[in-house]
Amino acid sequence: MKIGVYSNVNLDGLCRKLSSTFEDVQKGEGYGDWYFSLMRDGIKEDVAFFILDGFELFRNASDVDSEFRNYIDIIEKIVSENKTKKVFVSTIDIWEDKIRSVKDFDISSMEMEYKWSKELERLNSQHDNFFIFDLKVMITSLGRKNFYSKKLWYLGGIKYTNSAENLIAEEIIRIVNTMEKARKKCIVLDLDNTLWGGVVADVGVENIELSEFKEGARYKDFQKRLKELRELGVLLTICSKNEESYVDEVFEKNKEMVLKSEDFVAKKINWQPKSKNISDIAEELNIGLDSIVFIDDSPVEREEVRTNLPEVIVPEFPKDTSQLEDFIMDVYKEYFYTLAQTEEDKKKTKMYFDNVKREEEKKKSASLDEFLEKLDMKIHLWRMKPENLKRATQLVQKTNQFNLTTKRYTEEQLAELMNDPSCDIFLARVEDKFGDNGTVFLLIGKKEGAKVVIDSMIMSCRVVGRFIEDRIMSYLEDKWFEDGFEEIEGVYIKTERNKPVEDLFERLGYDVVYKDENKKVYRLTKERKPKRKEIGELILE
Amino acid sequence: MEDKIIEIAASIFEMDPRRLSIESSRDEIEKWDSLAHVMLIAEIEEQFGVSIPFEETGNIHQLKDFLRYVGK
Repeated sequence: MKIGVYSNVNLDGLCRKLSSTFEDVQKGEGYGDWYFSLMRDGIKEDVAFFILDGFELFRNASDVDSEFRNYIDIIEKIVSENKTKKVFVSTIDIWEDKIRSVKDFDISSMEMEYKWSKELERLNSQHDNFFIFDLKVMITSLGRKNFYSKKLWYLGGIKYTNSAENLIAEEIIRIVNTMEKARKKCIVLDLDNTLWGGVVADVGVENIELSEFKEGARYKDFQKRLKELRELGVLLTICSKNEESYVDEVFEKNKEMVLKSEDFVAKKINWQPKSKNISDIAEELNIGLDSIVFIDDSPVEREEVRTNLPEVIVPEFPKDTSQLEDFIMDVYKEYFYTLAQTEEDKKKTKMYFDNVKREEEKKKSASLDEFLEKLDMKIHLWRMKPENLKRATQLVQKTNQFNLTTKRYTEEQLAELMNDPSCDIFLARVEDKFGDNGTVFLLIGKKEGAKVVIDSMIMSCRVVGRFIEDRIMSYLEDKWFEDGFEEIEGVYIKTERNKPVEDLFERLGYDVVYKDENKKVYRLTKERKPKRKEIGELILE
Repeated sequence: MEDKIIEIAASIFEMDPRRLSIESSRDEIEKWDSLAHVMLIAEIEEQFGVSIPFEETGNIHQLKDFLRYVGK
């Protein structure tokens, strides 16, 4: 991914730091005219960071207000003209030492900072590709004395200290990583001395440490942050060596509990080894062990899980429990950092509960076919639209198992493919009587001469095994054949995780035309197209 | 102390610390340009918690010159 850093002050040092992490870091030319090249040529990189120094922005302004308007207009223009690029614009800090009397109190800088943030907030709500880079908060948390360096300013026109630049670099790295890598999905939590203070079996439901103020607030604050993680679509689960009746009582009776019983999609309250319970949770939720973070105050349990399930992330629990909130903030930044919450995220916990109901129904049914018939599935299929970009990117970046070629396109690349006439991108949403599964299917077909190549076929694990792909492929194949294409080419590229679909195209009746250790290529012609199961209703949108 | 200075310099110059010594000077190390010079001063000040007077920053030509400020 290409990264651009644009600033009205010298950030060459920052760019050097970033270059040791990323291959392609560009820095904007000039300082006062940091936006010229962007206005002239557009953004060349995938993501651009505008790190702006508040004081320098207005240093020579004769009319501060019109200068302000001018900057905002420029930023908005750049953002609207580069829709496929992500643009991060910093909040500003205006710091100026001035000798004045105590009585002479001047708030014009503060007002300007506020106006700036207000405009950024507006841009943030109006443009999907616009994000706020909260520089002001970094300056506040480090303190101006530690953020700015007079010496470096006089020596090399560098305004920020080394530690300030490190802080900015860390945040940029975190943001870029979030765009490139899949975030984790689930937190497994211990209870006693983790979610609350004390051992509930010993002290009783009302006496566990959990309160708004003082000692118990360590745990309550921790729970508040966990609840926020849940709202970002992170699945919360419990794994505790405990008596279930005590735990139920805590959920029912302790009014200080921020997290409710229904916030957890799985609970393992028993005396089995935690590694065993975590494996079970992974299986039930149909997620990989490597998408789980395990939090437990006991070093023995942590070690047990680390040894037996090396894929699971096991962060060190803080020795000083007043650090609990900082600890969970770090866990968020490291494993769950999220640029923008999707509609899917908000519903995630509910969707997993719907799934539990489905599993129960499945157990009751005599056969799989009977169960699938009873599900009353409605498969909505449509051509990808710009408003689907976020979810589509999520599917492409995060799906490991039902992913035939595992091409990890970025949002920008997907947007390009979407606008490419030789490319068909379809998405599908699946509803059934237990609820909406959300957008769970993505297919990219590339038209090459007389054939269509299935470049990507991806389905979220929560709907696997319902012959949805059969239904969709039958429709698309017919459509392509009708459009005059002679053959459809399927591709399977092996990864560590996508074994479940290694024979998918065989099952769909495709002929193997090439095969080696890591790759299979298939072909289907109109004549060879088989009859397939037709389960549920296909609705074209 | 010397090792730490070399280590800091190596990370800023992005080179193998074994190719540096406390005697290394600006004339022989290409990566020690004016930006690297400022970054090096900033890093040394922060890591050792010292302040190198502005007037003297121009007199630093070799890594060993930093020893005057960081104490021994």
